[in-house]
Amino acid sequence: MNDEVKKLTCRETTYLVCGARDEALTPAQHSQLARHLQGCDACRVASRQFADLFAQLDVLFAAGAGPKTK
Amino acid sequence: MKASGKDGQDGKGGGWQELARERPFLLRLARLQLSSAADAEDAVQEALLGALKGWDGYAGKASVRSWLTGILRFKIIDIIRARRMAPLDDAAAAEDADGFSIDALFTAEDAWHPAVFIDTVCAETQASQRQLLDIVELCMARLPEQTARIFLMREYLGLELAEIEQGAAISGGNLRVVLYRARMRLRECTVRAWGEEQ
Repeated sequence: MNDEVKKLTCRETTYLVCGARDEALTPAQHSQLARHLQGCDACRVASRQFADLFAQLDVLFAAGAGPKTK
Repeated sequence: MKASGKDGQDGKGGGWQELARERPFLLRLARLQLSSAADAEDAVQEALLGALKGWDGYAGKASVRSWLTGILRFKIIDIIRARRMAPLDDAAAAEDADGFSIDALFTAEDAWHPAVFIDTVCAETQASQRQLLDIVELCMARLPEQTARIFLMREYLGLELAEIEQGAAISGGNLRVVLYRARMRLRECTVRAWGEEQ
């Protein structure tokens, strides 16, 4: 059943990349995401852009300096 | 010299000058989060006074701005928890008054639309770390008000989703939509700015 993992669209990929900031992805979501990124140049770029943006938000908000529970 | 984050001036007078320099940034941050301007002023003032008290113990490991941002976070959380937050407007999950459309970013098959996809990555820019942070700050200031409020509860205050749902009387589904849209808007805004810094 899991071998028939649904292929993600680019839009669904953004749901996972953004959502992972709040809640850990399930193993199935991880592999769906990895599989999509492997074959999609635009999503690899977008995912890197999100990673840089999120890292900058962490610096801006001094993540780790307060009662953050993420 | 004790620490890199301090400019070598010791004593309350010197400390206050360094702290007060960050006031505009802190105020912008607090105003994004607190709907009342007076509350924002109070939170920032309390954070600055608290920092001044602790100035001698400030080790300078973080920048003054980071240190103050952390202190302000506690003040804002206190204010938010002390009162019932105004419930989020139902329209917030869909607010797009300025014409931003996530649909426009994708094709009918939900692939990135090649005509509008911006592929600039941060590493290609000539911008300094400070400029990059300024870009994020500017883009954040362009978020619709209610979106910014919710986004900052999560990203700045670090509240868990359940607490935001309860406090802002928003459903879990709508909360996730608001956060998603905020991040998509921020990405779009920052990558455009990175393109200009190339």
